[in-house]
Order: sequence, then C-alpha cells, then structure tokens
Amino acid sequence: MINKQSVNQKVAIVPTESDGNLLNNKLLARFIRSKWYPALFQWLTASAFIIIMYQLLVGPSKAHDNLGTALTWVLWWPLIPIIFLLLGRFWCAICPFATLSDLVQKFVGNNRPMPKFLKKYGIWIIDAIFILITWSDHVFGIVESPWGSGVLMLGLTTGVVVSGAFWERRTWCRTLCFLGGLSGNYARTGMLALRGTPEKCSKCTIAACYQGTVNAPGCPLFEFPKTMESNANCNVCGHCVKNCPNDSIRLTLRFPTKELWTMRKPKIEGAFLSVVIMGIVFVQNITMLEVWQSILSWLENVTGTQSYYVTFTITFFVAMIIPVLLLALAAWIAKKLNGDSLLQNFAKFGYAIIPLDIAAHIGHNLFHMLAEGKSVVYTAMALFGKNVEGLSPALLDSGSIQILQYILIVLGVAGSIYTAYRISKHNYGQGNVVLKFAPYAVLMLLLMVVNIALFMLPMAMRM
Amino acid sequence: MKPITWKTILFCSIMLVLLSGGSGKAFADGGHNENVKEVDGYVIELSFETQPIQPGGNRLLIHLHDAMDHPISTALVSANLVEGSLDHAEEVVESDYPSAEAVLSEMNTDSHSSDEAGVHHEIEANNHSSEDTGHHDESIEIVLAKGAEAGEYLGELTIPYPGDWLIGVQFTVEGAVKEITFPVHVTQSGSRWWVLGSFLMVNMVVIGAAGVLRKRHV
Repeated sequence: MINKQSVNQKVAIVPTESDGNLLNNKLLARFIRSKWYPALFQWLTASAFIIIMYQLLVGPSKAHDNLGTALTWVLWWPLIPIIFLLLGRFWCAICPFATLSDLVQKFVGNNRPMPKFLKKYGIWIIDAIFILITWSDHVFGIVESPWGSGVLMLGLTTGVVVSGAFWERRTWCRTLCFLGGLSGNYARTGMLALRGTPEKCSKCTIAACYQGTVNAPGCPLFEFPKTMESNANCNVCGHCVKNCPNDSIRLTLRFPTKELWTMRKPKIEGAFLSVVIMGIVFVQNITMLEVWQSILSWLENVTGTQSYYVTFTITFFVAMIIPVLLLALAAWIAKKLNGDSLLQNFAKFGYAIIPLDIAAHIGHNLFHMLAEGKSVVYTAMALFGKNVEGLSPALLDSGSIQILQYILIVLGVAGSIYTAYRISKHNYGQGNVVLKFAPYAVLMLLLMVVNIALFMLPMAMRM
Repeated sequence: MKPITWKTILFCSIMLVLLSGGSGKAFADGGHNENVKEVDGYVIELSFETQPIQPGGNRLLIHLHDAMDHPISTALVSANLVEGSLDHAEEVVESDYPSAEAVLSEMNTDSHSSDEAGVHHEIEANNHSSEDTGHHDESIEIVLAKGAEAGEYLGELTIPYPGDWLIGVQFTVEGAVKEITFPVHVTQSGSRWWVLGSFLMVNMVVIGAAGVLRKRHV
C-alpha cells in the first residue's frame, strides 16, 4: 500500500482536455471516487442474492412458483449479456459472489499469490467449467429446479470462499468463474472502455492503480491500466480512478466490437471460448424446442438406450463440436489465402464470432424474459399471499419476440462479419482483404441461418 | 500476531446465521395427511410404508373395507398423483384421469400379481421420467397389487418433488367405479440436510483454516 502523503504529492497533475472522457463529468467522477461506488450497487445485489438463495433453497419446490428461479433465470440471465455489451464487465464489480470474496478476504484472507497453474490455464479451466455447468444443467435440470439452482449457487459460493480465503484479489473472478470468462469475452465488444492516459502513465513510477492506496485496494482483476489494451479484465470498479494521483484514468465510450479489430495477442483459448459459446447457444435452443423430444426418441433408437445421460451427452458434444469444426474449416481455407497458420487463423478470427454470440445469447434469453417476464412479479406477489392464477406471464406476444430475435441475429452477424473484415484489414493490409476474410463471412452467414432456423421453431418455457 | 477482533467474530457469526438460516423451515414437516376416507359406504385407508413422505419412490398401502368393516379383496384399485391442494381435487380427478378399469384395460391382464413385494405399473404421461430429463411429468398413474392381508393393496408411487399433492384412488367393486382423493404433503428429502450441512461445514472449515493460517503468517 502507498501512503496518503505520496498520493497527495502527485495530485497536482490534472487533465487539460475534454476528449470524450466520461470522468470529465464532475458528478459522475465524484460518485466513482466516493465510497458509495460500487458499494451501493454491491449491497443491492447482495441483498437480492440473499433473497434468491433463500427462495431457491427453502422456497417453493416448483420453478413456476419460485421467485429465486424467476429472478435468476428469467430476469438476471437475460439481462447479463446486455449489461456486458453496454457496460463491459461492470456486473463483475457488483456481483454478490465477488462481494462475498472481498468480505472473506478482508477478515480471514491469506492473500497468497495466484497459483501459477491458474495463471497459465485459467481460461481453459473456465472453458471446461462453463461446458460442465451447461451439461449439468441439462442432465440434472438445474434451471428447472430451484433446489438444483440453489446447489449450483452453493457450489460457486464454496469456490469463492476458498479463493477469497487463500488467494489475493479476485483470483476466482479472473481465473475460475465461468461467468467471468463469458463476461471477459463479451466485454471486448462492450461500449465502455477504461484506460490510462499514456502521457501521464509513462511518467508514473508508483503504480498506485495496481498496488492500491489508502483510498482503495489495487486492481482486483490484476490489471495495470498503464499497459491495458483490453476491457476483458476490467470490471470498472473504479479503484484505479480512486487511487491514481495523476487523474490518468479515462472512461470513454467506444464503438461496439472495436476492441476486437486490433487485438495484438489473440489467444486460442479465448477464441475457443467464443466458438464454444455458439455451441452452447445451439444446445440451449435445441433442448427448448418442441422438436427436441423427437430428436431424443431418434437418438434412443439409434443408440439403443433410453438413458438421457447418453443421448443428451451425444447431442451436447455434437452441438459443441459443430461450430468448432466450422471455424477450423474456415481457418483452414483462409490460411491458403492469408498465409497464416490454421491456429493463428483460428485464434485471430474466433473472436469475430463474439458479436454473434452475444446476439444469439440475448435472442435466446429474450424469449424467456419477454414470454415469462411477468412471472417475476407473480412469484414476488405470491410471497405476500397474493396468488395469481391463470394469467399469462408474457410481456410480449411470441410473434413480436421472434421478430426481435431475427433483428438481433442480423445485427450480430453484421457485427461479426464487420469484425472479421476489420481483423483481416488490420492483419493483412489493404490488398485482397475481402478475399482473405471471405471464408469467415461465409461461416457467419451459415451460423446466422442456423440461429434463425432455431428461432423459427416453437420454444418451451423455463418457468 | 494480529488478535481476533470483534469484527472477525461478528463476521463469522453473520456468516453462520446466513448460511444456516432458514434450514429449519426447509425441512420442517408442515404436512398433515388425512388418511381415512369414506365413499358410498366403503372405507378407504391410505398409508405409506415410510414417513414422512419424500420425493422419489414411496410404498403406498391402501386398505379397503365395507361399512361393516369387512375387508374387500376383489376390487381393482388404481391411484394417480397430481400436484395441488384439496380445493381443486374434484375437478382434477374427474376431468383428467381415467378410472381403474380404463387404466387396466390398457395393460396386460396377466400383469396383476399377488406377490407380496407388490408389482407396480406406472403409466407416464410423458415419454421421459423426471429422473431422466430433469423435467416434471404431469401425472403418474399406478395400478395397485393385492397385498398379503385381505383388503390390502400395494404399489409404489414416484413423487417427483416436494409440495402438496393429491392422490386419487379409484376402485372398482362389483362393477361400480368409486373415486376418492387424498391430499398429501411431501417434505424435502433428508439428503438436503447433508448438502446444506456439508456446505456449511466445508465453508466454516475453510474460513477457520484461513483465519488460523493468516494469524501464523502475520
């Protein structure tokens, strides 16, 4: 920690220009520098989390009647990708699990360095956990079962407590949380960017943003704004804003997907997560379609077993592997055109799928939010003895929801194709850029067709 | 060495309360199960081999007597399970479920057994059971087998999840079909104690160990 005196000595440097920095707004800057940010939001979400956990574990056994299920899977889960798109990883700053981690750390934390294996394989671990949770959800019916959802939360809570008790900062959020991995990827397309001002940071020798001061702890996600190029691991918690003695931190709005255009070190595991998310969206959609039972019956006949574990696992594997193979195929074709290796192509252009991921993710969950949204109100009313019978939980009719889903997918594909184009332009210059990214454009169009086809079929409710 | 402050004690206490809070309610048996009813002079007594009734397979016993308390051993007895409270019992039973005869007609006639183990037959409304898919079925219908005692009928009823349920009992005596509904309350499975208990214990051990290690470290 750096003492207050050394911080105050540096305060003289002030920003001199208005350059789209949201922190130039005095009210916002004052709020972010105050003790109320992000504490105010943290306590709100922590309170909601306690209600949700109580409902999931001891509330009505049926998802249809459970406020915890409604708040988690009908309201929060559909909103989360929208939050990532608008505000980057802001959710991670106010996530109740992170608050719990901070509390545990404050009182009993050992603050040991993040283990090397987590540092090295963090994203792969996240990939694996994400796939495992999605598989478990379908096999054990986690979303449909309040108790199942509660047990999932208890498992996550235990992981958070262990991480907070022994390791420094938010090791859990950075290297283990499946939602953290998802949010990291989605935040790359986010409209909010936090960075240091290079001219100021270059003269800085105290690194208060990373180390922490009496004003606030250091960056919880191990980021150093001076060298930060991505918002994947910035949760906009405001600690660096509070700590920086040079007013170097800038918070700006940017064009969605912009960060993806010029990534210097695309990672294969990050690209893999992007494409796996598309597979997960496929699985989520397929299993909620009314045609799913027919697919299951067919699989039962083919495999000769009625075990859902077997039939679903096959479906899950196929749905996961199809987008991965398609991207690999596109990368294989593209390598002949752009000269990069297959893996380089996979890593560079895998990120271009993220806009479509977000669109498909929002599109799928939009159905739940808009077709079942009122269940949040109904289940909340039931807590006070006001039972609502026979009323539709829908906020919008299914036809209108479908149109919104199609619009989202088209926007997502446009975003993905444009991103692939920009990546191609950034990497291969002006000549033959269109040809070099053409295989990816075809891939995005194909994924668009699959997504639209899935949205055209009737879908089952969550509640 | 950093002493344990009142804040640490308060934190641990709050964690303990939060982590264990509500578990009493979760496992409280709020159910009162009426188990003897009469219809047209016939007395039907419904009981379960084990109490409290929990989600999963439950051995169902029905004793059938006439008004003179003579056991009736020649009846065809079936039972169905539907979620709900007694307020809606009549409409549910009358509208949604077939009689014992209708159920039996769908099954092989040689499927009845007087085996004391109680062979049961479930007709599921959907193709996949709740255990397979994680989704809940709409109804479960079973035909009961004759038990060892006169007037006793046995079967195993699978109850998907806790809550208020209605067990509709249909029996056919001398060609006449009778129906009666019993409300039952199904409590949470005892295994949940283990899950919550383990969660509580593991987290307390982790927090305790971290506290001790931190003191040593400091």
